Amino acid sequence: MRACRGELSKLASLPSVWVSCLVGVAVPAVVAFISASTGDTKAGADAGFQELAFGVVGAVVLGVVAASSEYSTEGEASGGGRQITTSLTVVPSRTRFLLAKVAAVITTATVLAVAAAAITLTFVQVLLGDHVQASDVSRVPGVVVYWVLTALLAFGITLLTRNGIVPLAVLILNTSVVTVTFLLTKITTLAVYFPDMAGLRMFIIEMDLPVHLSPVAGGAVMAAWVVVLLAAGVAVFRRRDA
Amino acid sequence: MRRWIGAETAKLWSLPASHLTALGTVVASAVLAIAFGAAGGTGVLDVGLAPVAYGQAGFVVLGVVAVTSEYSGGQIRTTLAAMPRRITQHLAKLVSLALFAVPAAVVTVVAGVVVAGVVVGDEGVLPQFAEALRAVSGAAAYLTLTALLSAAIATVIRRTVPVVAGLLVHYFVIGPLLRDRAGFAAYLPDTAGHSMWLHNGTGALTGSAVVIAWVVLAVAVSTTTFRRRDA
Repeated sequence: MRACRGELSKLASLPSVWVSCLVGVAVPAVVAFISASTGDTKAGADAGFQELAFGVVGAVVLGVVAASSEYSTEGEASGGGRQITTSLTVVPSRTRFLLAKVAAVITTATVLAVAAAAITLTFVQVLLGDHVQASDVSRVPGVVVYWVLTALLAFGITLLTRNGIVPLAVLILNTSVVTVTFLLTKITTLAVYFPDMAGLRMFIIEMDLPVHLSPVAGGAVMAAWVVVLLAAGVAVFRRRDA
Repeated sequence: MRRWIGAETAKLWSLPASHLTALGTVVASAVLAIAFGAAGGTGVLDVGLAPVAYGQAGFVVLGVVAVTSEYSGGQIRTTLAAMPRRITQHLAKLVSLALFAVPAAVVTVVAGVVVAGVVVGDEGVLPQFAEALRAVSGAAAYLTLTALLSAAIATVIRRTVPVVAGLLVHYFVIGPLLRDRAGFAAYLPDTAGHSMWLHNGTGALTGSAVVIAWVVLAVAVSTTTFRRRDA
């Protein structure tokens, strides 16, 4: 529990985390506000939720920075300092250290997702009231689970690479308007089982994909990816020199 | 000046990150051309240039890494001991980056177009040579300018992860979302740059001028900060 508090305090001390939270809340809220105030209704039942699918970049940066900040500290006088040695001196059990870290990432991502969903959907509700039905609130847990799983996915990949650039490039690029995984579904239907394509089913209704998955099945596929990547990250982290 | 450019070029070529980024971008461009072809495109240029929208990520990373590699281990002190005139040093770095980025950009764009020609095959719409030349050089110029813009911004911020994250979020999330929704987006570097490589896009001259203006502004700011600030 104290280890977890320590990890939360480390996250809170990173400017990148605060900026990523700001981006995660502001991007979907502002974009939803712009499209709703122009009376754009082509998103239909997914109004607001589509924007939340892009806002997940905030969770991506959060997950990447949570891992990469342990390995390289950039700054005038840090000379490439590595916080990980200090962290493991304080919490020598590597499994406990990672559990605390994962708990901190989950907590932060949950708060971030709830805040982003609340603000974005409020804008949509106020500006396009007749388009948001009561059932839409039932999709909010899907948004939160998607953001948390994405943050953990980014964290797991960064644990393997120990460098933030590659996971950032791959994951942000894949949050774009036409994602790479969506293009890959044109080559092979297997691509619908990529974590983001599967996970989006939890809250996006209209998806032009060759295979239909229920929200629960989509969430399960995404969770399986996260479990495998985190397990690989934990296994490597426990065996490798810090 | 020539020796300074040579020194900066040697440093850039010695970074594994620069080669890996360039190589990864070319491979990704070819794979995406296959995907766009399978997605039902028929124009060889349309399909071949579509991966540029994703390939710009590689050039953002290239530009940032060229600059921030000076700061991750304190190499900047050695650099400035050897090359004390800061403005010249900074401009030499940007020139050497451009010399690296231009061939990388040409290979990236040509790889996409060639793969598209193979994938789309016989039913594809083949472009005129002049049209293809214009589109390919426009796309390569856009990618090079993107690398320079990223390098200038990285000089001001000096931290790899925040700059890469910020630029990629702009180029891949905020930019495309604003493009369809807000009029001022036409004056942002990503949307303006579209007209440089979407060969049926209009206003290529205006678009190029906007992108170049952004690069000049960013380089002016980065040169001033680099000149005045402690290293």
